[in-house]
Amino acid sequence: MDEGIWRAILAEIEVSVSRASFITWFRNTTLAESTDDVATIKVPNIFAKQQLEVKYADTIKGLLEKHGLKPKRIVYSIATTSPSSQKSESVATQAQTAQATKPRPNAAPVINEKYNFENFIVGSGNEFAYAACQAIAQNPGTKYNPLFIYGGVGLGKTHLIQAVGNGIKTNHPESRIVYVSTETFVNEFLDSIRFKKQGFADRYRSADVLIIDDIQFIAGKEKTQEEFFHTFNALHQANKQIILTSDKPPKAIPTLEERLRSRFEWGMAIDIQPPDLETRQAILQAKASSHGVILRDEVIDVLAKAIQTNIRELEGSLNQLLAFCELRNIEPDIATAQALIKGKQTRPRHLTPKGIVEKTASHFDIPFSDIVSAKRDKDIVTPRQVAMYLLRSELHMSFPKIATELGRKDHTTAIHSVDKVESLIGHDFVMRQHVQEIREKLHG
Amino acid sequence: MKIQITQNNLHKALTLLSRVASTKSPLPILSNILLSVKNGVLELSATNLEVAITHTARGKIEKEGSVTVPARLFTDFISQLPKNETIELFFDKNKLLITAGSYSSHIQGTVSDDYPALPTLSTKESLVVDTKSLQQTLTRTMLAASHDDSRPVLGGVLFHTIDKQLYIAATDGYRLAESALSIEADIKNSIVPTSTLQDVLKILQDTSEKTVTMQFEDGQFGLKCEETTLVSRLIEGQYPEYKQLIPESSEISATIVREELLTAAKLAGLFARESGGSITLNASEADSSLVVSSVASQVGDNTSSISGKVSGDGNVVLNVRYLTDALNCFETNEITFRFSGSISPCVLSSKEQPGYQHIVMPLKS
Repeated sequence: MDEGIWRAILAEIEVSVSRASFITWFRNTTLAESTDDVATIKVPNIFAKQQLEVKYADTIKGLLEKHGLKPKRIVYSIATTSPSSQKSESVATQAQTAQATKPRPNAAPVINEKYNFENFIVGSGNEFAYAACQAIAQNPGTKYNPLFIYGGVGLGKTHLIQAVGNGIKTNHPESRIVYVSTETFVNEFLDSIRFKKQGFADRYRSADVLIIDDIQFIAGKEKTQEEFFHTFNALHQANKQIILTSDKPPKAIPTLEERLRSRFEWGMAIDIQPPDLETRQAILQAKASSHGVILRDEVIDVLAKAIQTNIRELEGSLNQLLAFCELRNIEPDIATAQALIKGKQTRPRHLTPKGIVEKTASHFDIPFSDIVSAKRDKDIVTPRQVAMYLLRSELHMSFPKIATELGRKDHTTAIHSVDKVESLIGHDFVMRQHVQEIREKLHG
Repeated sequence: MKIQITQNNLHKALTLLSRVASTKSPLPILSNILLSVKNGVLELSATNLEVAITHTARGKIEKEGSVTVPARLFTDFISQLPKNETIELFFDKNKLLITAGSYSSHIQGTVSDDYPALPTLSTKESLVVDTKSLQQTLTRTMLAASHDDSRPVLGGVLFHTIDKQLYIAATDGYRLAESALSIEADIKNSIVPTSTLQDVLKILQDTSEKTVTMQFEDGQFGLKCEETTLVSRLIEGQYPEYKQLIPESSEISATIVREELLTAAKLAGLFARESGGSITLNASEADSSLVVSSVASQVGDNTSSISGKVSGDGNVVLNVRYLTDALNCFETNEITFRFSGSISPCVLSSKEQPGYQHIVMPLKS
């Protein structure tokens, strides 16, 4: 309706002003909204805004009235078409509706709505944790309490627990969710002591769901541990859900009090493993399509193979590739992807060829002298091939050098071994597990 | 309207404004300058509907009023008059009478009612920045902006803040310049048209003020410096995530004397004309040198070796114009040039000029 009125108004203005003026000031204007109170007219830029506001105000008011609209005031706003501002607008409305349905707004570091179960990619390394989190989102506080998730950096711990938070928000909008990082918890605790602030204990002990990220940072802070111990007990006794994440299992967190350690292990402690190749590919595909880009499988392969242990880094290099291609206006191709990841693959300093061979030998429980010998027993050949593969993938050594390192004369053996292990990793779970475990030992 | 004003004062204002008043606009009145005498001052304004500049000049006011006159003719006439001469402007019945000593003329004017209403600075808070550093920063950054109309956002310069640090960045997809200025505020991401910033530079050159104020708001950029106010529209759209393209570390790096590299690049450029300006830089850690070379098969070739602190070995092919442009953006003794092989971006920076980096994309060889 508004559209029709505005078109009629424009037609009238068009005949009363010069053609140039009309094009300059009225092109791309719209009547965005009209109520009894206010009419909003969208204009393309500040110059048009000023002109309409100052010079054409009476004309426009008169014409609106003529068409039956009598707003108390007329507002001119600059129409932004940029996706960023549209995005921020939609986020704002979401937040408002969320607050309207919730009696008690959640305290500061809020759960990010973009982390949910739908966009979490499940693979063999994280399916158990995923299932547990989904169960909790359905019925918080009943089973798996506390839930303790641990795993290396950038594997999706934060995504998962935020997804739980969002899930509970949807399923149980009345529950009070407190989500903080351990750092915030510690700082608030210190503030409460230093400035004698009230309400610290209340804030945490009145939560229905308490989610704390990176709990390993509580290590060594005795007083905070004690406070957390009491909070933990209060919540646990009242059957409130507690979710914690850490980069290591409870046993491996140094200087953690014994009573806390045992409590962390009380409910369920699940580890998240680094994603396998297929999961990494799926993650990249999903991320790319959320950017509205379809990437070719070969390009995805390049990234997924190059970055193996950290999803954050994986996404980072994808974003870098997309930004690079957007800026230069080119299609993402293999060469560009390879060039971009080349800078990332720097040789870890502590790794030596000998170290890799030794670690591989000890992983397979065979003596170092056997792995570099000429023996052709199957239980020695496989470790030797794995060692060659690791020398190639970790240190980017040349094939002749790899051969020499393992006491071979011919570099074609090395080429064959690397190819073989590479293809085995693609489909053999046991092999993948071996390589993964040795890698963890190498980097850990 | 009647006012007496010195030639100096009027001429200074008109040189700033006449650039903006455009003859190309569909609205003929925009090729005029608006003169308006009110509240005891003479205000001169011009706009091309991308940017509007208003300058306040002092003079002896006898009667208030306003008029618009053709910018070109008026400016040319005033600039020819003797310096320090007192000029009298008198407007009556569509004609502006200009008298200066023994010279006088009439210029046909247009009533100011038809002149568009110009956007003004808002009353909201603004950033105060050092004139000199803003001028340097803009000059060093702007040159990397694109001149290609097919991608409008790259035709502007991005202003954005991260943690109270103002970043000013421009890129055309082949090179990228970024400067940092620390300020005590956060602003929205704003893309300011390069042509606006050229006007800003002109204002900054003419002023003796130590600081100027800037404003970034919905759809508009504002600058105030002494008696001059500039308001410009912003370019709409999403600026690419350029930060992702700046490599944090590189495999190869060379710290060398800037002048030496500049000379070497210019020399190599002489032999790079037929190859579209491509010159090769070769770093060698063993020789601690960076070798700049180019070959013109019909003419000859050139090699210069610059010694300095070099780590890593490798070579990269660059467009000589981008390299010399980048080097000219530094006013330092030493420069650090780092890269990672022949296809990843090269970064130029210098400890002596913190906060500034210039990225050049290699040519595919």
